[in-house]
Amino acid sequence: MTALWLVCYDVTDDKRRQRLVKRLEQRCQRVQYSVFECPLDEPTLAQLLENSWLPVLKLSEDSLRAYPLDAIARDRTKVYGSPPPYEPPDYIVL
Amino acid sequence: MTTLYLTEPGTVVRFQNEALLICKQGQTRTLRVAELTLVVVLPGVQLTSVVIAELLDRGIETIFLRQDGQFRGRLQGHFATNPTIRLAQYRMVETTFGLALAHKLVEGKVRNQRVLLQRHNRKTQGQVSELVEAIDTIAAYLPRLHNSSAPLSRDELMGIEGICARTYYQALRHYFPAIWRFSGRNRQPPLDPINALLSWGYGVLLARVFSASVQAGLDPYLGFFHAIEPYRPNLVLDLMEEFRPIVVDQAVITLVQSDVLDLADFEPSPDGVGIWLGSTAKKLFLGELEKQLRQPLLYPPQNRRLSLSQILLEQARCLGRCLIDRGLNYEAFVLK
Repeated sequence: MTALWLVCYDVTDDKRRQRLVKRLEQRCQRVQYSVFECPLDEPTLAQLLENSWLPVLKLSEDSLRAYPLDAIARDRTKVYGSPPPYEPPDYIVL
Repeated sequence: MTTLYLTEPGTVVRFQNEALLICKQGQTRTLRVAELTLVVVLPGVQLTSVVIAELLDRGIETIFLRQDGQFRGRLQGHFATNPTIRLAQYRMVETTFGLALAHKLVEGKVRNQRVLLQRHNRKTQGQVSELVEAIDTIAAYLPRLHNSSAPLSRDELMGIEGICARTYYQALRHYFPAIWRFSGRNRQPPLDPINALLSWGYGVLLARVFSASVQAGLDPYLGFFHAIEPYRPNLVLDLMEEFRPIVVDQAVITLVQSDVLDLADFEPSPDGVGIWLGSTAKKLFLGELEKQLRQPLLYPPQNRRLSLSQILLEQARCLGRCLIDRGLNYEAFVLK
Protein backbone atom coordinates (compact mmCIF):
# COMPACT_ATOMS: atom_id res chain seq x y z
CA MET A 1 0.00 0.00 0.00
CA THR A 2 1.32 3.40 -0.93
CA ALA A 3 1.33 5.84 1.93
CA LEU A 4 2.54 9.38 1.99
CA TRP A 5 5.77 9.58 3.94
CA LEU A 6 6.93 12.76 5.52
CA VAL A 7 10.71 12.82 5.41
CA CYS A 8 12.79 15.47 7.13
CA TYR A 9 16.45 15.82 7.87
CA ASP A 10 19.11 17.64 9.81
CA VAL A 11 22.44 17.60 8.04
CA THR A 12 25.38 19.64 9.31
CA ASP A 13 27.67 19.43 6.29
CA ASP A 14 26.62 21.31 3.17
CA LYS A 15 28.03 18.83 0.71
CA ARG A 16 26.27 15.88 2.31
CA ARG A 17 23.08 17.91 2.51
CA GLN A 18 23.18 18.66 -1.20
CA ARG A 19 23.78 15.05 -2.08
CA LEU A 20 20.90 13.92 0.09
CA VAL A 21 18.55 16.55 -1.36
CA LYS A 22 19.39 15.48 -4.89
CA ARG A 23 18.54 11.88 -4.05
CA LEU A 24 15.38 12.78 -2.17
CA GLU A 25 14.18 14.83 -5.10
CA GLN A 26 14.31 11.73 -7.28
CA ARG A 27 11.31 10.28 -5.49
CA CYS A 28 9.88 12.98 -3.23
CA GLN A 29 8.24 16.35 -3.39
CA ARG A 30 10.08 19.08 -1.54
CA VAL A 31 7.57 20.99 0.60
CA GLN A 32 9.93 22.97 2.83
CA TYR A 33 13.69 23.39 2.85
CA SER A 34 14.35 20.23 4.84
CA VAL A 35 10.94 18.54 4.55
CA PHE A 36 9.84 16.19 1.78
CA GLU A 37 6.62 14.32 1.05
CA CYS A 38 6.98 10.98 -0.68
CA PRO A 39 4.21 8.77 -2.08
CA LEU A 40 5.86 5.37 -1.50
CA ASP A 41 5.04 1.91 -0.29
CA GLU A 42 7.00 0.75 2.73
CA PRO A 43 9.35 -1.73 0.99
CA THR A 44 10.34 0.92 -1.53
CA LEU A 45 10.96 3.38 1.25
CA ALA A 46 13.11 0.87 3.12
CA GLN A 47 15.08 0.19 -0.02
CA LEU A 48 15.62 3.87 -0.76
CA LEU A 49 16.70 4.53 2.82
CA GLU A 50 19.18 1.71 2.78
CA ASN A 51 20.58 2.09 -0.72
CA SER A 52 20.25 5.72 -1.55
CA TRP A 53 19.58 8.11 1.28
CA LEU A 54 21.40 6.86 4.37
CA PRO A 55 24.71 6.06 2.62
CA VAL A 56 25.39 9.76 2.04
CA LEU A 57 24.79 10.69 5.69
CA LYS A 58 27.07 10.61 8.68
CA LEU A 59 24.68 9.43 11.34
CA SER A 60 26.86 10.59 14.22
CA GLU A 61 26.19 14.15 13.09
CA ASP A 62 23.14 13.98 10.82
CA SER A 63 19.65 12.64 11.23
CA LEU A 64 16.74 11.72 9.03
CA ARG A 65 13.17 10.89 10.04
CA ALA A 66 10.31 9.42 8.03
CA TYR A 67 6.73 9.52 9.32
CA PRO A 68 3.90 7.69 7.60
CA LEU A 69 0.79 9.69 6.78
CA ASP A 70 -2.08 7.30 6.13
CA ALA A 71 -5.23 8.57 4.45
CA ILE A 72 -6.70 9.66 7.80
CA ALA A 73 -3.58 11.48 8.91
CA ARG A 74 -3.26 13.10 5.51
CA ASP A 75 -6.81 14.40 5.58
CA ARG A 76 -6.31 15.80 9.07
CA THR A 77 -3.03 17.48 8.18
CA LYS A 78 -3.12 21.24 8.58
CA VAL A 79 -1.12 23.25 6.09
CA TYR A 80 -0.73 27.03 5.95
CA GLY A 81 1.02 29.07 3.32
CA SER A 82 1.93 26.24 0.91
CA PRO A 83 0.19 23.60 -1.21
CA PRO A 84 -1.74 20.75 0.50
CA PRO A 85 -0.04 17.36 1.08
CA TYR A 86 1.47 16.05 -2.12
CA GLU A 87 -0.46 13.75 -4.39
CA PRO A 88 0.78 12.79 -7.86
CA PRO A 89 -1.61 14.25 -10.46
CA ASP A 90 -3.83 11.80 -12.37
CA TYR A 91 -2.89 13.32 -15.68
CA ILE A 92 -1.08 16.29 -17.14
CA VAL A 93 -1.84 17.75 -20.55
CA LEU A 94 1.04 19.93 -21.72
CA MET B 1 -0.17 7.39 -11.07
CA THR B 2 0.25 9.97 -13.76
CA THR B 3 -0.52 10.02 -17.46
CA LEU B 4 1.47 12.63 -19.35
CA TYR B 5 0.19 14.08 -22.61
CA LEU B 6 2.71 16.07 -24.65
CA THR B 7 0.71 18.00 -27.21
CA GLU B 8 2.69 21.10 -28.15
CA PRO B 9 5.09 21.14 -31.08
CA GLY B 10 8.44 22.53 -30.02
CA THR B 11 8.40 20.81 -26.64
CA VAL B 12 11.73 19.24 -25.72
CA VAL B 13 11.91 16.54 -23.06
CA ARG B 14 15.16 15.75 -21.26
CA PHE B 15 16.09 13.43 -18.44
CA GLN B 16 17.71 14.72 -15.28
CA ASN B 17 18.00 13.29 -11.78
CA GLU B 18 15.29 10.64 -12.31
CA ALA B 19 12.86 13.19 -13.66
CA LEU B 20 11.67 14.44 -17.03
CA LEU B 21 12.49 18.07 -17.74
CA ILE B 22 9.80 19.30 -20.08
CA CYS B 23 10.75 22.57 -21.79
CA LYS B 24 8.38 24.54 -23.96
CA GLN B 25 8.39 28.20 -24.82
CA GLY B 26 11.11 28.97 -22.29
CA GLN B 27 9.21 27.31 -19.44
CA THR B 28 10.44 24.15 -17.78
CA ARG B 29 8.48 21.65 -15.78
CA THR B 30 9.79 18.57 -14.00
CA LEU B 31 8.00 15.32 -13.49
CA ARG B 32 9.44 12.37 -11.59
CA VAL B 33 9.69 9.30 -13.76
CA ALA B 34 8.73 7.06 -10.84
CA GLU B 35 5.25 8.58 -10.86
CA LEU B 36 4.63 8.09 -14.58
CA THR B 37 2.65 5.20 -16.03
CA LEU B 38 1.82 6.40 -19.53
CA VAL B 39 3.17 9.00 -21.93
CA VAL B 40 1.22 10.10 -25.01
CA VAL B 41 3.25 12.05 -27.56
CA LEU B 42 1.88 14.21 -30.36
CA PRO B 43 3.89 15.30 -33.40
CA GLY B 44 6.57 17.92 -32.98
CA VAL B 45 7.64 16.84 -29.50
CA GLN B 46 11.27 15.91 -29.11
CA LEU B 47 12.42 13.23 -26.68
CA THR B 48 16.16 12.90 -26.12
CA SER B 49 17.72 9.47 -26.59
CA VAL B 50 18.22 9.24 -22.82
CA VAL B 51 14.50 9.80 -22.26
CA ILE B 52 13.62 7.11 -24.80
CA ALA B 53 16.06 4.69 -23.18
CA GLU B 54 14.62 5.35 -19.71
CA LEU B 55 11.04 4.90 -20.91
CA LEU B 56 11.98 1.61 -22.57
CA ASP B 57 13.98 0.28 -19.63
CA ARG B 58 11.29 1.13 -17.11
CA GLY B 59 8.52 -0.27 -19.27
CA ILE B 60 6.59 3.00 -19.23
CA GLU B 61 4.00 2.76 -21.96
CA THR B 62 4.74 5.44 -24.56
CA ILE B 63 2.33 6.06 -27.40
CA PHE B 64 2.80 8.28 -30.45
CA LEU B 65 -0.19 9.80 -32.22
CA ARG B 66 -0.52 11.56 -35.56
CA GLN B 67 -1.75 15.11 -35.97
CA ASP B 68 -5.28 13.83 -36.64
CA GLY B 69 -5.28 11.74 -33.46
CA GLN B 70 -4.67 8.44 -35.24
CA PHE B 71 -2.32 5.89 -33.68
CA ARG B 72 1.20 6.08 -35.05
CA GLY B 73 3.02 3.58 -32.87
CA ARG B 74 4.46 2.86 -29.46
CA LEU B 75 7.74 2.20 -27.74
CA GLN B 76 8.25 -1.48 -27.13
CA GLY B 77 11.03 -2.70 -24.89
CA HIS B 78 11.46 -6.28 -23.80
CA PHE B 79 8.18 -7.78 -22.81
CA ALA B 80 6.92 -10.99 -21.34
CA THR B 81 4.87 -12.41 -24.16
CA ASN B 82 3.04 -15.67 -23.90
CA PRO B 83 3.25 -17.80 -27.06
CA THR B 84 0.45 -20.05 -25.79
CA ILE B 85 -2.03 -17.19 -26.03
CA ARG B 86 -0.92 -16.20 -29.53
CA LEU B 87 -1.09 -19.73 -30.78
CA ALA B 88 -4.59 -20.14 -29.36
CA GLN B 89 -5.57 -16.87 -31.01
CA TYR B 90 -4.34 -18.04 -34.43
CA ARG B 91 -6.13 -21.37 -34.05
CA MET B 92 -9.40 -19.70 -33.11
CA VAL B 93 -9.76 -17.54 -36.22
CA GLU B 94 -12.29 -18.86 -38.71
CA THR B 95 -13.86 -21.15 -36.12
CA THR B 96 -17.37 -21.02 -34.69
CA PHE B 97 -15.84 -20.04 -31.37
CA GLY B 98 -14.17 -17.09 -33.08
CA LEU B 99 -17.44 -16.10 -34.67
CA ALA B 100 -19.25 -16.39 -31.35
CA LEU B 101 -16.65 -14.05 -29.92
CA ALA B 102 -17.32 -11.56 -32.72
CA HIS B 103 -21.02 -11.69 -31.76
CA LYS B 104 -20.20 -10.80 -28.16
CA LEU B 105 -17.99 -7.90 -29.19
CA VAL B 106 -20.60 -6.41 -31.49
CA GLU B 107 -23.35 -6.98 -28.96
CA GLY B 108 -21.31 -5.19 -26.31
CA LYS B 109 -20.87 -2.16 -28.52
CA VAL B 110 -24.51 -2.00 -29.58
CA ARG B 111 -25.74 -2.37 -26.00
CA ASN B 112 -23.48 0.43 -24.83
CA GLN B 113 -24.60 2.64 -27.69
CA ARG B 114 -28.16 2.03 -26.64
CA VAL B 115 -27.32 2.86 -23.01
CA LEU B 116 -26.06 6.29 -24.09
CA LEU B 117 -29.24 7.00 -26.02
CA GLN B 118 -31.33 5.84 -23.07
CA ARG B 119 -29.51 8.22 -20.76
CA HIS B 120 -30.51 11.13 -22.94
CA ASN B 121 -33.99 9.75 -23.33
CA ARG B 122 -34.45 9.70 -19.57
CA LYS B 123 -33.18 13.25 -19.34
CA THR B 124 -35.61 14.47 -21.97
CA GLN B 125 -38.33 12.30 -20.40
CA GLY B 126 -39.05 10.43 -23.58
CA GLN B 127 -40.22 13.52 -25.42
CA VAL B 128 -37.93 13.16 -28.43
CA SER B 129 -39.76 10.58 -30.50
CA GLU B 130 -36.85 9.92 -32.87
CA LEU B 131 -34.72 9.04 -29.87
CA VAL B 132 -37.32 6.57 -28.61
CA GLU B 133 -37.59 5.05 -32.08
CA ALA B 134 -33.83 4.64 -32.36
CA ILE B 135 -33.69 2.93 -28.96
CA ASP B 136 -36.46 0.55 -30.03
CA THR B 137 -34.82 -0.16 -33.39
CA ILE B 138 -31.58 -1.11 -31.73
CA ALA B 139 -33.42 -3.21 -29.15
CA ALA B 140 -35.08 -5.13 -31.97
CA TYR B 141 -31.71 -6.25 -33.31
CA LEU B 142 -30.18 -7.23 -29.97
CA PRO B 143 -31.82 -10.70 -29.68
CA ARG B 144 -30.35 -11.69 -33.05
CA LEU B 145 -26.88 -10.87 -31.79
CA HIS B 146 -27.54 -12.79 -28.62
CA ASN B 147 -29.05 -15.93 -30.14
CA SER B 148 -26.30 -18.51 -29.83
CA SER B 149 -28.29 -21.39 -31.36
CA ALA B 150 -28.48 -19.62 -34.74
CA PRO B 151 -25.30 -17.56 -35.09
CA LEU B 152 -25.10 -15.03 -37.90
CA SER B 153 -22.53 -15.21 -40.63
CA ARG B 154 -19.85 -12.55 -40.56
CA ASP B 155 -21.60 -10.63 -43.35
CA GLU B 156 -24.91 -10.68 -41.52
CA LEU B 157 -23.16 -9.58 -38.36
CA MET B 158 -21.55 -6.66 -40.20
CA GLY B 159 -24.93 -5.75 -41.65
CA ILE B 160 -26.61 -5.55 -38.27
CA GLU B 161 -23.69 -3.69 -36.78
CA GLY B 162 -23.93 -1.17 -39.62
CA ILE B 163 -27.66 -0.60 -39.21
CA CYS B 164 -27.37 -0.17 -35.45
CA ALA B 165 -24.42 2.20 -35.84
CA ARG B 166 -26.24 4.38 -38.34
CA THR B 167 -29.35 4.50 -36.16
CA TYR B 168 -27.24 5.31 -33.13
CA TYR B 169 -25.20 8.11 -34.66
CA GLN B 170 -28.27 9.74 -36.15
CA ALA B 171 -29.98 9.65 -32.77
CA LEU B 172 -26.86 10.98 -31.08
CA ARG B 173 -27.45 14.38 -32.67
CA HIS B 174 -30.13 15.09 -30.06
CA TYR B 175 -27.30 15.46 -27.58
CA PHE B 176 -25.73 18.35 -29.46
CA PRO B 177 -27.00 21.90 -30.04
CA ALA B 178 -27.74 22.72 -33.68
CA ILE B 179 -24.72 24.99 -34.16
CA TRP B 180 -22.52 21.89 -34.18
CA ARG B 181 -24.16 20.71 -37.41
CA PHE B 182 -23.93 17.06 -36.45
CA SER B 183 -26.28 14.79 -38.36
CA GLY B 184 -24.54 11.43 -38.28
CA ARG B 185 -21.17 9.84 -38.53
CA ASN B 186 -18.70 10.73 -41.26
CA ARG B 187 -14.97 10.26 -41.32
CA GLN B 188 -11.82 10.25 -43.41
CA PRO B 189 -11.97 13.17 -43.15
CA PRO B 190 -14.53 14.21 -40.51
CA LEU B 191 -16.66 17.04 -41.86
CA ASP B 192 -17.92 18.69 -38.67
CA PRO B 193 -16.46 19.34 -35.20
CA ILE B 194 -18.34 16.51 -33.47
CA ASN B 195 -17.10 13.99 -36.02
CA ALA B 196 -13.61 15.45 -35.67
CA LEU B 197 -13.79 14.85 -31.91
CA LEU B 198 -15.13 11.32 -32.39
CA SER B 199 -12.38 10.41 -34.87
CA TRP B 200 -9.72 11.89 -32.65
CA GLY B 201 -11.05 10.09 -29.61
CA TYR B 202 -11.25 6.74 -31.38
CA GLY B 203 -7.61 7.21 -32.37
CA VAL B 204 -6.60 7.75 -28.76
CA LEU B 205 -8.73 4.83 -27.58
CA LEU B 206 -7.20 2.61 -30.25
CA ALA B 207 -3.74 3.46 -28.97
CA ARG B 208 -4.75 2.55 -25.40
CA VAL B 209 -6.41 -0.72 -26.41
CA PHE B 210 -3.40 -1.57 -28.58
CA SER B 211 -1.21 -1.35 -25.47
CA ALA B 212 -3.68 -3.45 -23.48
CA SER B 213 -3.72 -6.19 -26.14
CA VAL B 214 0.06 -6.39 -26.20
CA GLN B 215 0.18 -6.43 -22.40
CA ALA B 216 -2.32 -9.28 -22.38
CA GLY B 217 -0.07 -11.29 -24.72
CA LEU B 218 -2.36 -11.04 -27.75
CA ASP B 219 -1.49 -10.34 -31.37
CA PRO B 220 -3.03 -6.93 -32.12
CA TYR B 221 -3.33 -7.62 -35.84
CA LEU B 222 -5.39 -10.79 -35.90
CA GLY B 223 -9.04 -10.29 -34.99
CA PHE B 224 -12.36 -12.09 -34.85
CA PHE B 225 -14.93 -9.58 -36.01
CA HIS B 226 -12.71 -7.38 -38.13
CA ALA B 227 -10.73 -10.59 -38.66
CA ILE B 228 -7.87 -10.45 -41.08
CA GLU B 229 -7.95 -7.20 -43.00
CA PRO B 230 -4.35 -6.51 -43.94
CA TYR B 231 -2.43 -3.60 -42.39
CA ARG B 232 -5.01 -3.01 -39.70
CA PRO B 233 -4.80 -3.87 -36.00
CA ASN B 234 -7.90 -6.04 -36.30
CA LEU B 235 -7.95 -7.41 -32.75
CA VAL B 236 -7.59 -3.90 -31.35
CA LEU B 237 -10.53 -2.76 -33.45
CA ASP B 238 -12.49 -5.72 -32.07
CA LEU B 239 -11.62 -5.13 -28.45
CA MET B 240 -12.29 -1.42 -28.54
CA GLU B 241 -15.83 -1.79 -29.90
CA GLU B 242 -17.56 -2.04 -26.54
CA PHE B 243 -15.56 0.92 -25.22
CA ARG B 244 -16.19 3.37 -28.07
CA PRO B 245 -19.52 4.64 -26.74
CA ILE B 246 -18.68 4.66 -23.04
CA VAL B 247 -15.24 6.22 -23.33
CA VAL B 248 -15.11 8.36 -26.45
CA ASP B 249 -18.73 9.21 -27.24
CA GLN B 250 -19.41 9.95 -23.58
CA ALA B 251 -16.33 12.18 -23.39
CA VAL B 252 -17.48 14.12 -26.47
CA ILE B 253 -20.96 14.55 -25.00
CA THR B 254 -19.63 15.71 -21.63
CA LEU B 255 -17.18 18.12 -23.25
CA VAL B 256 -19.74 19.69 -25.55
CA GLN B 257 -22.31 19.95 -22.79
CA SER B 258 -19.85 21.62 -20.46
CA ASP B 259 -19.84 24.53 -22.92
CA VAL B 260 -16.11 25.17 -22.88
CA LEU B 261 -15.62 24.57 -26.60
CA ASP B 262 -16.81 26.69 -29.47
CA LEU B 263 -16.51 26.50 -33.23
CA ALA B 264 -13.35 28.64 -33.20
CA ASP B 265 -11.52 25.79 -31.43
CA PHE B 266 -11.62 23.83 -34.69
CA GLU B 267 -9.82 24.45 -37.94
CA PRO B 268 -9.95 23.14 -41.51
CA SER B 269 -7.64 20.20 -42.19
CA PRO B 270 -4.63 21.01 -44.40
CA ASP B 271 -6.37 19.66 -47.52
CA GLY B 272 -9.31 21.98 -46.79
CA VAL B 273 -11.88 19.17 -46.91
CA GLY B 274 -12.22 18.10 -43.31
CA ILE B 275 -12.22 19.59 -39.84
CA TRP B 276 -9.46 19.24 -37.27
CA LEU B 277 -9.15 20.00 -33.59
CA GLY B 278 -7.19 23.11 -32.71
CA SER B 279 -4.70 22.97 -29.88
CA THR B 280 -7.12 24.09 -27.15
CA ALA B 281 -9.70 21.57 -28.26
CA LYS B 282 -7.06 18.84 -28.18
CA LYS B 283 -5.98 19.67 -24.66
CA LEU B 284 -9.51 19.91 -23.30
CA PHE B 285 -10.57 16.72 -25.05
CA LEU B 286 -7.57 14.73 -23.85
CA GLY B 287 -8.37 15.86 -20.31
CA GLU B 288 -11.97 14.75 -20.70
CA LEU B 289 -10.99 11.38 -22.19
CA GLU B 290 -8.62 10.83 -19.32
CA LYS B 291 -11.40 11.63 -16.83
CA GLN B 292 -13.61 9.03 -18.49
CA LEU B 293 -10.83 6.45 -18.40
CA ARG B 294 -10.14 7.14 -14.73
CA GLN B 295 -13.75 6.78 -13.75
CA PRO B 296 -14.22 3.88 -11.34
CA LEU B 297 -16.99 1.49 -12.30
CA LEU B 298 -18.16 -1.85 -10.96
CA TYR B 299 -16.47 -4.60 -12.95
CA PRO B 300 -18.84 -7.58 -12.46
CA PRO B 301 -16.44 -10.45 -13.29
CA GLN B 302 -14.29 -9.44 -10.34
CA ASN B 303 -17.01 -7.75 -8.33
CA ARG B 304 -14.92 -4.68 -7.55
CA ARG B 305 -14.59 -1.16 -8.75
CA LEU B 306 -11.93 -0.53 -11.39
CA SER B 307 -11.10 2.41 -13.58
CA LEU B 308 -12.16 2.07 -17.21
CA SER B 309 -8.52 1.97 -18.28
CA GLN B 310 -8.00 -0.99 -15.94
CA ILE B 311 -11.17 -2.62 -17.28
CA LEU B 312 -9.76 -2.31 -20.82
CA LEU B 313 -6.78 -4.37 -19.74
CA GLU B 314 -8.87 -6.87 -17.78
CA GLN B 315 -11.09 -7.45 -20.80
CA ALA B 316 -8.04 -8.10 -22.98
CA ARG B 317 -6.70 -10.55 -20.39
CA CYS B 318 -10.09 -12.21 -20.16
CA LEU B 319 -10.12 -12.66 -23.93
CA GLY B 320 -6.69 -14.28 -23.73
CA ARG B 321 -7.92 -16.72 -21.08
CA CYS B 322 -11.02 -17.56 -23.12
CA LEU B 323 -8.86 -18.42 -26.11
CA ILE B 324 -6.85 -20.90 -24.09
CA ASP B 325 -9.66 -22.35 -22.02
CA ARG B 326 -12.73 -23.10 -24.11
CA GLY B 327 -14.78 -23.61 -20.95
CA LEU B 328 -14.68 -19.85 -20.31
CA ASN B 329 -16.89 -17.32 -21.98
CA TYR B 330 -16.03 -13.78 -23.01
CA GLU B 331 -18.59 -11.25 -21.84
CA ALA B 332 -18.49 -7.69 -23.09
CA PHE B 333 -18.37 -4.91 -20.52
CA VAL B 334 -21.80 -3.34 -20.64
CA LEU B 335 -22.97 -0.29 -18.73
CA LYS B 336 -26.15 -0.62 -16.75
